[in-house]
Amino acid sequence: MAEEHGAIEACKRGDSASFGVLYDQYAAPIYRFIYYKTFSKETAEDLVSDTFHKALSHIHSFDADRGSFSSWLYRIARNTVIDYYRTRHVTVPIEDIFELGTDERIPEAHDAIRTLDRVNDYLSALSPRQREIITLRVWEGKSYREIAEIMESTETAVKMAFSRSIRDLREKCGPIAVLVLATYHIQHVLPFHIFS
Amino acid sequence: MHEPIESILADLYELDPSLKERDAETRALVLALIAAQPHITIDDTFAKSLRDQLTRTHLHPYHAEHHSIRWWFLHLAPIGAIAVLTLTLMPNFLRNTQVTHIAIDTPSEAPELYAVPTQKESALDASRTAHRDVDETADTSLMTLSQALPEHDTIVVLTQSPGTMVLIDSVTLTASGFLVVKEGTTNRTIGSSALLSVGTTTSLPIVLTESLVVGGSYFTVLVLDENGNGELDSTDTPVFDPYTDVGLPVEDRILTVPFDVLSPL
Repeated sequence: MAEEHGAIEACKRGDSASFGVLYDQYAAPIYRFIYYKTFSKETAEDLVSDTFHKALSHIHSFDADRGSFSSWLYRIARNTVIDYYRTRHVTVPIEDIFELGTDERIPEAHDAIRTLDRVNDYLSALSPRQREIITLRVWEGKSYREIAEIMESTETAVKMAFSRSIRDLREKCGPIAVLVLATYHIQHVLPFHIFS
Repeated sequence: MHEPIESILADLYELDPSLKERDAETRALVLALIAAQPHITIDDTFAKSLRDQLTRTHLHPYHAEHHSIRWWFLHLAPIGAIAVLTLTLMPNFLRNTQVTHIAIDTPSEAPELYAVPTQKESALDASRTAHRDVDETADTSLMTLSQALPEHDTIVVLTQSPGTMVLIDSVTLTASGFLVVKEGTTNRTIGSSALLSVGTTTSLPIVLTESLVVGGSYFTVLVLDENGNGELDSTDTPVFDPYTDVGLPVEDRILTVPFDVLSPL
């Protein structure tokens, strides 16, 4: 954290080389965050580049008293994705970004796509906001406070939305969840034990 | 990279103890979500190329000093302190000084000082007054207006309960406009305020054309009364958010503030 703070202050003084410290820490998670919303390697790379360029050019406006650098950066990434779909005049509701990439997936990761298909079955039952909260909490390990800062909501609202989303998922997919978990173990865990 | 399951479950059970009653299903669901996380990795060549571009970008250090609120505060604080000290001492100074009070009669009728409105202006004033009266009849008991001119447009809306009304905690406008409530998945307008004046309005109720649903997607936007007719129509434009506008023209970003709908506890 101290290293991050030092890098931010150095950037504010004009030392762009120090931005490398921040980039090294956040490049991979930001890429994942954007990829989950676009399902396209090329698009994700373009938007990751946009995100970090914006962050660097506006580093002077970052105020630690208003939230963490991580949340600030995720918020930039989130807004960058939203604006990308706005400028493309996609007719599907903008907030339903989770579903938009399914028609233009590049099959460079078949396992990832099959996994995402299963995830889509679960998460398509939820609202876009619920989906985003779940992916940030479960996959990215973000705290409720961080999620609230990223999504410009309140911590209480995020907590309530998360618990209700899990309840809704359990009601709709409870038995399926157990089945998918068993399937996952059969596909990924059992062969290891058989052939090892 | 993902949150440990026990930590997630502990949070969930604290928030909603009923989830613990079906621990096996809840646990299986969370495990399935964790297991389903795609393993996405960033391309090394791309990552290194981008890093090189960023770390070689020329930054202007003076931006940090001139744009930092903290910088302005540190430099203006001494001046502010002197001003406060002066204002504190001034009453004592004045009290010790003889002042001749001059009584000024409140002008009651001085027709030569005021322009006589034309018939058209009278009618226009009457219609505007009637419009305000209509609005104030509905909302005066709940609205309060700030005196200072606002610098930014903002919306504060908390979690709502199901029903056909949204209560906006506060809305600040730098120009007259409307607060509009939209349904998130279809972007339909489901409610809007009457014309709001410049300034801050608190505790603003918005009646909706359809009921809010628990877990539904909703958000609020501000729309300026572009044509000045006091009515929300297609020629009015949305307000853009200056704070989250990072690197993009203001015209490309609409100020939207979402809100959740939860069952009342």
